[in-house]
This record gives sequence, structure tokens and C-alpha cells, in this order.
Amino acid sequence: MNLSLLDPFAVAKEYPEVLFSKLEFGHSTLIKSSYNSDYLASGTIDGDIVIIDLDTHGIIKILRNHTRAINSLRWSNCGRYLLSTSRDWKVNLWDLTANEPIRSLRFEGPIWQAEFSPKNQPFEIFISIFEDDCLFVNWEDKDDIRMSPISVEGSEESSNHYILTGVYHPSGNFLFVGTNKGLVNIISTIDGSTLFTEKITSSNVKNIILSQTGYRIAVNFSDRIIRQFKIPDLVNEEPENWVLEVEHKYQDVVNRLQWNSVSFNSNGEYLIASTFGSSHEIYIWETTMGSLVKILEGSKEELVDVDWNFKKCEIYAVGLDSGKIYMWGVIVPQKWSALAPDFVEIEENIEFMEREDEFDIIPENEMAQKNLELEEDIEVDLLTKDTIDARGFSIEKSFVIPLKLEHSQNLFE
Amino acid sequence: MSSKIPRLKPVPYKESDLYQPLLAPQLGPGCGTTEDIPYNKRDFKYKPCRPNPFLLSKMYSTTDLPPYKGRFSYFDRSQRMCINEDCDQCTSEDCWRSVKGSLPIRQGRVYVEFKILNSEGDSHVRLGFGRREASLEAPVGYDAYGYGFRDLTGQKVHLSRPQDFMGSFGTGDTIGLLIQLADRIKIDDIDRDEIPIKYKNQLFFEQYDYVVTKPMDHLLNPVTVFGEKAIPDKDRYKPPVIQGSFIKVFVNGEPKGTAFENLYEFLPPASELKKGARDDGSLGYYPMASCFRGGKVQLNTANKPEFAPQGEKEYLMYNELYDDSKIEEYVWDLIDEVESAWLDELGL
Repeated sequence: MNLSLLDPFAVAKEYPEVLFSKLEFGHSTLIKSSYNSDYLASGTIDGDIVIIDLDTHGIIKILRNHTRAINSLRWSNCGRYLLSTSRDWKVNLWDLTANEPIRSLRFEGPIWQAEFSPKNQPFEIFISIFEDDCLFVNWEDKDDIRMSPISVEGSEESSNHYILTGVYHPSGNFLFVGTNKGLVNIISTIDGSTLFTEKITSSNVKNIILSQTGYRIAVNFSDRIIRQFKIPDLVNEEPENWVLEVEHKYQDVVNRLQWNSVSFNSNGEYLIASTFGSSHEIYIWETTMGSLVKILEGSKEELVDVDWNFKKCEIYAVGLDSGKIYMWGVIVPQKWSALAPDFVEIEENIEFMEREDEFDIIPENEMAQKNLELEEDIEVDLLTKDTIDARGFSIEKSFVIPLKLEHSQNLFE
Repeated sequence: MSSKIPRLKPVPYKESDLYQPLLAPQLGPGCGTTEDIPYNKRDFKYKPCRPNPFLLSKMYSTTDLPPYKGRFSYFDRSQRMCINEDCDQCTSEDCWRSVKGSLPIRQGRVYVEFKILNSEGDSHVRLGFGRREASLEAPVGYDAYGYGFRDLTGQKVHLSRPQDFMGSFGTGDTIGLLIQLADRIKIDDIDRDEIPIKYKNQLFFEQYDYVVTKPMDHLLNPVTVFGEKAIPDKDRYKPPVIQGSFIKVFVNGEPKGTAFENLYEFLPPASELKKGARDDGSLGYYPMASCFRGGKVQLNTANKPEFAPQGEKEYLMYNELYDDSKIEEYVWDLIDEVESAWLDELGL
């Protein structure tokens, strides 16, 4: 049912509450929903990438090239390209109109992560490599792939000091990286120079995530604390004046839980994290006050990767043992009366208050005259499309993955 | 009389019933609704009764509840229609609810006077005459069994179709309705078929009430519905009329003309019970008032009109029917007793 016809208070819920579905297509290790929230890419332990249509929850594509478990997946903003890395030491760029990778790189060691730059997608990427300098790669020209390594700066102990993870600032000019010695650096993507460095703690950085608005950054350290920083004004302020201000620290003081994976919601007002070990839950914090608002339960196993689908207001997580994809969402009660505006849904009987002339029968021509007087010329606009959806997200024309139905027979080979 | 063989013998009363006082429904100083009497509904009607040790076969006789006059009825009233202790005022907080008078007007020329106590703003009233079958959950004039007047426009309403008649009227106006029926109706037999029942420890006679007949209903909705199809009627039913009858309207005594002429006949076969068509003495035209959202009406229960209808001399006030009506009831009680005793003697 059309969301805009439903109860606006139910539609406007900020975060999901109910586990409504479980999907199982192979043993999933990693999930990522596309920017337009139409598709979900799931990386499996065998190296397959399964594209799931989120309206039907059916597989529409399986991408096969990797031979080991997928460990990073990124969608391009347009929704057409997918960047994947795997434990087979390969980085692949997929064009979803084809079934083969259009670019592929094999490295000398395992890769942590690959990331699309907001600029010049899908050909400018950032790759972090196990115990090696990370790279900016431009592979626009297939035969002339340019790579520029970035090493850790701003630390005395430069031996065994590597960048583990990174995330682009929405402007595309800056890259936030986290190192294995607890440093958070800001690197210029133009010349690869380190503009800012700060040692937060001495333990590994596990994930860095940035809110879509570009105001907040959350860093998951292996000292069991997620730190949330306010991003300084990178464009107008000089790098010397930049300060990374800790807004909140999220940690479980009692159980000292380790956090597996973190994610923001669309406007950065909520942060979610999956937990390591025997606690099978997802924590949701509200980021302005830093308070825990909800714990999502329902899985019977440890959850590894989490992903927040903004437009559908759903949270997905992958179970460690079974590889199932758990889905939490908002259940909006159906309101069929919205289709007939002169009907009202009532909870209990109400007494009908008739009009003074309710029983009177007025001849048809008089009635028509009366109705004519009441009716005003209302122009109904049938042509202009809505620009925002029921949850306030702008409606953009997004890439639709072409389906070849005759192909689907050998999809499951 | 033959219709009653074998007769249904009433349940004998207990001795304590003889000493049970006749209680009028409890009503406060304002208008209220009553809890302890049955309402006329589901094709049954009620009237109060008393055990009577002089009537050996019939055992019960008809009686009346105070106040003893021509007034609004306790029984012939929508459950949500409120009346006062004197039974001469009525009001409803809901939408259209109606009440009828306690006595039928069966013959002659009778003047009924309504005073409008409130029809301000959202509140409205409609006044008129209705027969036994007229719906109490609708304004008077809704069906073929009533003739009404609308305060908002002064229109006359019959079969739900308002027609322009006079100017609007409202709070403070006294509307006099003069109804002329047949001068004298022929009464062959009154067959009352009444059963004494106990309701909340009080005795009442229960009788079949008159039911809306199909042809009369088709006057209001001239269509026949077959599933999803509605087929309009080809021939319009012409109910029998009382020749020379009319309803004249007076506003504060000032004549406004004749609103309705040749009113529909009420004597059988024009009125039907669930089984058969016979007269039980309750047929006739009743004064009827309908109130909408706080509309309030007062019925004149005196023997003198507040505003004498100009140009009219020969008429009875509604209250003047009271004594005759009660005497008639008593006579029919005696006739019923004789008849029942004879049937008992035959062993039927």
C-alpha cells in the first residue's frame, strides 16, 4: 500500500522496532543496501554477491568472480556499480548491467576495505590493505591504472603502523582514516598529504562511519568504545584549527561488550551497533544526547554486519553462524479508508448525528443545483510527480537493474 | 370475535398485585427519559393494566398512568426522547426523535396546539400528525403515515418531501393544527387481543402493533430492489382516503390555510396488524412532535386553546377526548369480559 496513504505517525517512526523477516540466500557475511534503498547486496562466504530486490525480497542477480568470503561491499551513488573486496585478495568493480566485473585488481595480500570516492564514481577508489600502505586508485583507463600509496604520518612509531579503514567526506576532498594504533587522520585526496592527525586511544580502529549529512563521524575502536566526533568545518577552516571534538562515547560498562559493526541513520540522529559474543542484539542510540533508545532483539545468534536502509526505515543484520539476514522494520497498520476519503475507520461504534434535512427527499434537479453550488472548481494535478516520499526523502530516478528472465534458470547452479 | 377461539387465558394475578400501587414513571423537574416502562417497539405496543377481581374471566382491566389527560405518551415515544413530569413537554438532545400523543384522534374535528419552547440555532422541531405506524426515530412526515411541518422553512412535509407552505416559525410561536376527520366512524367490532405481562414488577397489556405495509412503504421509496438492481415502480399505489378530511394550520391563532386534504384512511384494511387487519381502538391520527438537538415543544393539555383559531368555532380540544376515550376502554373491557366468560363456559 502507498505509504503516503497510511497513518503519518506510524510512517514517521524514526527507527525500526519489529523483526519482520529473515532471508537466507547462501551464508551471508556482509550486507549493504543501495543508496536508493531499492536493492540489498549480500556478500557470501563463498565469494558470491547476491543482489536482493527489497520490494519482493527475491534474488535478481548473483555476481560470481570472487573465490573467498566477501569482506567489503560498496554501492555507487547512482546504484549501477558495486565495489567488492574479498579474502581472495581481489578488488572488483561490477557494472550491474553486466555479470562480469569491469575492473579487477589482485593484490599481494588481504584487503580490508575498498571505498568509492564521491567524485568521479566509480573510477576513483580508496583501498586499505593488510599490513601495507593503503592506496588511492584511479582505474578509469583499464590499461593505465594509477595507484598512489598513502602512509601513516604524524606518529613516532611508524613501524607496523597501518591504516585499517577509511571513509570519504561527502565533498570528496578529504578522507578520514583510522589506524591500528588508534589514530584518526584526515587526508587530502588531492595530494595524499595528511592534514590532521590525532591519537584517540592506543587500540585498533575497527570501523569509521560518517553520517550522510557530513556533521558526525563515529569510530568503533577495539577498546570496546564507540566514539562519536563532531566534524570540524573542513572547507572554511585551516587544517591547523581543526579539532575533533568527542561528542559521546558509547560503551557497555557492565558487560564490556565489543561492537562488531556500526551504522548511522540517514540524518545521523541515530547510531546502531551490533554486539560481539553471546549478546545477540542491536543497540540503537540517539546521537544528540547519547542515550540508548532501543535494543533490537530476535536473532538467535551473534550479529556481525549491520546496515540501515533509510528510505524503507529498516535495519538489516547478518547472523554469524547461519549467515541469515535479519530484517527489522516498522509495521504500519493498513488504513484502507484512505482510499475512500468519505469513509472513516472507527475503533468503536459512534452515534451518527444526522442533518436536519437528512430524511427529506429533494427532487433531483434541485439537488443537482444544490450540489453545483457546493462544488468548487478544484483542479486535480495528475501529471506532476511527488518530489519527496512519505518519509521526507527526495524521490530520485534511480538505476534499475535489468532483469534477464531466461537467465534465471542457471542462476542457482 | 370468532378469531379468538380458543382464547388465550391470562395468567392469574397474585393477591399482592391487587394492592400494588399504580406507579407513574419517575421523572425529575426537567425533561428526562423513563426507565421502568416498556416502549412500543418490534411491532408490540403496551398500555398499563390492573388486576380486576370483578372481571372473573378477563381478570385485568385497562387503566392509565397519571397525569390523567390528553398528553404525550410514555410508551409511544422514542427511547431517547425526553418528556417532563407533566407529559406536555418533550425534547431530544440527539437528532430526530419523535413522540406521539396518548390518545388517537379517530373522528370529528380536533384542535391540537403546540408551543415551541426552543428551536434556536442548531435545534429544530417538526410538528404534525402521525398514525400508529409512523416511525418514532424519524421526524413526523417521514413516511406515508404522517403529516408534518418544518420549523426551519415552514414547509409541510409528507413522505419526506417538503413542499413550501408558509413562512418559517420558531421559539415562542404557537402552532395550532386543526384536523378534520370523518364526522363519525362506523365501529363494528373492537378486537383488542391483549395479554397482561409483568415488566419491572408492573403490569402492562401487550398487544400487537400495526405494521408498515409494503404498498405504503413504496409510496416513500417507489423502487423494488432485486439484489443490486433497483426497479422503479410502474403504478403508484393509491391508498384509500378519508373524504373531506383536512389539516389546517394556525400560527398564534392566525390561519395559514389548509395544508393537507383527503388524509389517508386509517381504518382496516388500510391498517394491518401482523396477522389480519382489525381495529383495536388505537387507530387514528395522533398528535406527533419531533425534536432535533435540543428542540423543545409543549403540547397544550388544557381544554382551552392559548390562541383561539380565527374563524373556527366547532372543534374539540385534544384534552377533551380524554374522558370519552377512557370510558370507551372501560366499555370494551366489559364486552371482552362477557365474551371471555361465554368462551369459558363453552370450555374452550
